[in-house]
Amino acid sequence: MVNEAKLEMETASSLQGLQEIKVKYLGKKGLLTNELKTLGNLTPEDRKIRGAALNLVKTELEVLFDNKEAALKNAALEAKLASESLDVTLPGTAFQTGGFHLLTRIIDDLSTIYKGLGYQVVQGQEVETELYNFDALNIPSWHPARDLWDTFWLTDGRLLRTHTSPMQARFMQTYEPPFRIVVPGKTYRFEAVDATHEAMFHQLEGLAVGKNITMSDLKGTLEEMAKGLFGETSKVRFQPSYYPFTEPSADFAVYWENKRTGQAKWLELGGSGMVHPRVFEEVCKLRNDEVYAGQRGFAFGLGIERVAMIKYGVPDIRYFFQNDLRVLKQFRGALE
Amino acid sequence: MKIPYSWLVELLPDLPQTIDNNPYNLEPILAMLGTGVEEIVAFPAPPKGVIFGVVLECIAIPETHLYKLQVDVGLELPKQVVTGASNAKAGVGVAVAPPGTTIQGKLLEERAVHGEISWGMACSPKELEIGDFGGGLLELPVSNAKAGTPLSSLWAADDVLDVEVTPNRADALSVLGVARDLAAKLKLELKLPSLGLESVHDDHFPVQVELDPNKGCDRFVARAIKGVKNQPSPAWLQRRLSLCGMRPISALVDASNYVMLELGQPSAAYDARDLPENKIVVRDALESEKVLGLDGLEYTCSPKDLLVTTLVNGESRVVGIGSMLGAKYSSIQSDTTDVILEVAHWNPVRMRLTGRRLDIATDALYRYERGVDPNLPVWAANRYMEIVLEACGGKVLEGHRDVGGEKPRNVIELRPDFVNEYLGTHFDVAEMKGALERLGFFVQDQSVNISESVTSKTILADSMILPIRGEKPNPDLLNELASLQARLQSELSQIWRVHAPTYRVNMDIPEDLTEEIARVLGYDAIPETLPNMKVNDLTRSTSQAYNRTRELKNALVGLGFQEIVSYSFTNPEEMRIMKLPEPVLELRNAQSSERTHLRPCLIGSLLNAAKTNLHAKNVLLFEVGRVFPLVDLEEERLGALLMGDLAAKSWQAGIAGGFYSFKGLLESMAAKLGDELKVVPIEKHVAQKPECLHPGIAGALEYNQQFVGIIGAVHPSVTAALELPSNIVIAEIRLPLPPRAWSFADPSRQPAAIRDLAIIAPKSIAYSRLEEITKNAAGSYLESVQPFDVFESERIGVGKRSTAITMTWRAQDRTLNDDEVGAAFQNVITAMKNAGLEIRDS
Repeated sequence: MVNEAKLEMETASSLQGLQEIKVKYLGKKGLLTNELKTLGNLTPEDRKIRGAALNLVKTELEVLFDNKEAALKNAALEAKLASESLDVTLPGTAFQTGGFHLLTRIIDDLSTIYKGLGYQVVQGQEVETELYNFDALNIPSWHPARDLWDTFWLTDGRLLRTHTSPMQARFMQTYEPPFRIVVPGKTYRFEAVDATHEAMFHQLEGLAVGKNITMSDLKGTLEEMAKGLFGETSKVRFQPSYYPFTEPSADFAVYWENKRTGQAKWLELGGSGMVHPRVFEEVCKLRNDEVYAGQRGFAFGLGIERVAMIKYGVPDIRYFFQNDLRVLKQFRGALE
Repeated sequence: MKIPYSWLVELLPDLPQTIDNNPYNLEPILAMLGTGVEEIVAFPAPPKGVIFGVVLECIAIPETHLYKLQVDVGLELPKQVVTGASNAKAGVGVAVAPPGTTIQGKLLEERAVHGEISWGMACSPKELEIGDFGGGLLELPVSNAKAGTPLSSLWAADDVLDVEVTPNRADALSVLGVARDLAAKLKLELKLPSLGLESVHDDHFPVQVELDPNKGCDRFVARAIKGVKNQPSPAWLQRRLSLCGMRPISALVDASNYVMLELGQPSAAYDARDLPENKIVVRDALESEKVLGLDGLEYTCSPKDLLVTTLVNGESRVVGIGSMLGAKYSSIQSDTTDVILEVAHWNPVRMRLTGRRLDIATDALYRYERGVDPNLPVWAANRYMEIVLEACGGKVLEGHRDVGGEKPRNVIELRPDFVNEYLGTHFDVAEMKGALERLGFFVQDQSVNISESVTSKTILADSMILPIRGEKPNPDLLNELASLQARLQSELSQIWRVHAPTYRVNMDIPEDLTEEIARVLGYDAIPETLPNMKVNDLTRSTSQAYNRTRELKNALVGLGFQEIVSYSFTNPEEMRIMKLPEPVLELRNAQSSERTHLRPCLIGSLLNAAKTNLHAKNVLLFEVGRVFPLVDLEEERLGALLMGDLAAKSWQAGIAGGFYSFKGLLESMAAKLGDELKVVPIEKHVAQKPECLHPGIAGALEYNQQFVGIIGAVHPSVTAALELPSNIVIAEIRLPLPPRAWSFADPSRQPAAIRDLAIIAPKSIAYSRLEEITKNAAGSYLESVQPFDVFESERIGVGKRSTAITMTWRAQDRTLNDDEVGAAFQNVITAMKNAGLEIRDS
């Protein structure tokens, strides 16, 4: 019987079969159990000897059962896993991949740099009046300098801001010095559109006002920006220029080592200068007080599209507003 | 401003050795002066072999437009040259390209034209590649050279620098002005152009000038020459005009232009025959007074415009509109013999306004509106006469009339230390003074009497030192201290009175002089520092709006939205097709019929972007930008759009797009920002349903309980009109979004009680209404209510919908008992029934 039981257990092919075999021998009415029940009929001597032998067999069968059960369970699991396997090389579900517009990334890079230097990021309005866009910036209507800004006029006499500079006067009208701000935003020029000129583009304006600000502070600030934007080897060069709202005025160029091409060059990036005293006078008139009398400050402005075109090799300014996803989605991940 | 290199060298003889005689080396130097070089163009000499010839005879060839010229080319016999040039005539010098020369890439041969032999050809400036004029022959005075002279010896190659001159630098609109800057910067000697035929004001000068100096012409100089022979200008003059981009006309006209290029002073030459009474009156134009200009156009002037007039038989005749444009009437003719020259100074503002009103753009106006030196007219007049006398002969009248006279220099007080304080530089005081002086400023030292203040300072120093040392002071030390103090004091109190040259307009304040000093001493000397300042606390939080928008964009990008940036322009037709509001702000000077107005909303921009990206299977976009919905409202808004599936079907099912996917994304956006976004029936906030939206799929957006915008499917007729797929959902939201206060809530560890309920309601009852009823009835322990099954079927009735909701109750501090929850559940059922709704038995 023992050998028979062992053989049956070893050859069992299913958990259910194994269980049946267990019942057959070890169950309440199983063959071995029955044998154990007959022990009472034996003499104490024989009972002891036979009892020990039967218990040994029982233990042996139980161990055999446990091992076999484990083996069968394992086999069943493996079979199940085998049936569940996927071809992991098939493509996954095509979720939407979002991204920022390249211009937003550059504005954000610049804003982050300037926030680190203690600047606030504020925004002006795109429909402006002559007062803020020109007059308050020392550009009276009869001045030839007005020709520098080709303007979109509205039929109601207002205009689309030609630069972010109107925010200079607006901010000073509301807040007292000292302060530091940058103003990113859309600007408009009535210009023939070509690869480098658009009727609409973006600028970032900077303005710092305080009693002891110097032009070297302006240069140092722009250098911080250049290093933040173009890497630690960047530097800034000033050239005399003319803006009615700054005196002295300087155009600034930034030295850039292009890591992609290995070339290095000076890039004309924007205009800047010390705030013209007449701008402070105009602000005093707007505020009807003398808070800005005797103040000093510097201002600067640069074109965002130009930075994007230079840094990322975008060949035509018109790409920025065509909203073709095949173009926009190229500017993802860590931009250099 | 185009400046031939050779002309610069004429005024700066030492320039070549300073820059290795390479004009390209001027680029960085001029840039550092603020007059950057746009380009340098090399102009070649005329082609090899071209010679100077004199036309002896000019005969028209019958039945053609051609002429036979007999030209003395320095050979024994004249040569016959056939030409089609309309200005061909005898008695002038021309450029002859003999057979064997190459003109514009073509080798010339002796050949017959209409049966007439032509010995090469006579050339136009364009054919010689020395000028733009191609409409006729290059004409030179006969006396310019011996016949047969190589033309290249009269007309050398040159490099022309195109210099960008900012509006504040009217003085640099001349060769002299640029040369002066270079001389100051490079410390070179400036050789001034000839002073011309010098003269003095003469009260008896025959030409009378009448003007009101307060009206816009505050100086008027008149000179005159008689008996000239007007003819082509000599080659040297024509060459310089051509290099500067001006077309030579005749010596009397060219000389005026030449002086303008050289000195920066425009002038006007009149044929004296047209001013028979020798009288000039500068007056306001009459209302609608017509003037026929030199350019052949008729100008209608008004009293705002200043005219130069003369008297003919007691009647006023106009000879010029300011000095910006001469009248045809009195202009120089080929047979003009007597010339009256006007060199005046005009009010820049009045000139500019007239120029703009009449749409005049001349080189003269360009200079007048930027400001010409009021003390230049006499020099310019004398220089003109010198050139004309050389080119045309004649007799210059002695003296001149000068109405208005010399103007004084502007004086600015400047503390030299201010310059360094303002720039952050360490310029030496003497260097600064030198820079100003080399630019033509006169610097007068106005320092206070030093000796007095030094004495008092020394005494002060004495008393300070003695107690410290406790002994008799060392006399050497005291002397040293005194001199130190004196120097300090002199520097501190030094004030200059700076007399600005009259050719520098816009020189009013110390900052202007500071720029001049920095320009000459070099912007490179400005160091890099950072402002040391503590800002006004009230300005510290002004970044908030920007920061919130940035977070919003971050959230959207994280959810898979691609940002776009669109033009702010639109047109009424586009808005009409898209069933969007009419634009209210119109451009006065639109660039095209498609961009006539400012967009009233973002939806149009998003739909256009969807159309651009039809190549993509599914498109999820957002834009943050300004819109102009009302005349007085400029608003920043967020627009978002989903076209097609959220995840494209491939070998797998993908994720469907449509309203609920899109709404879910916006809800996630709000959740990422810690905010709450709800869509409520559109009627709650919008009186008239937006026409661009599907009437059955449109909702109003509430953000932290405030109405902020709309969401919905785009109206099928709009998608059809735009040839877009029909499954487009869209939202437009006003920014900045209302913020929500943050607070901490401990998550409850108590078990929840959950009950489900199915409600049968007419389809017109929105889910939000069911939610509202539930929330109002379920008591304060209700944690959430969620729909889990929504269906319609005939079984429950036509026009009805079954909505199954699951409600969760939980207390913060204890387990709710069955009675409490049961009562709350019953309250909900009762409330539903009270609202006329049916409860479905489960």
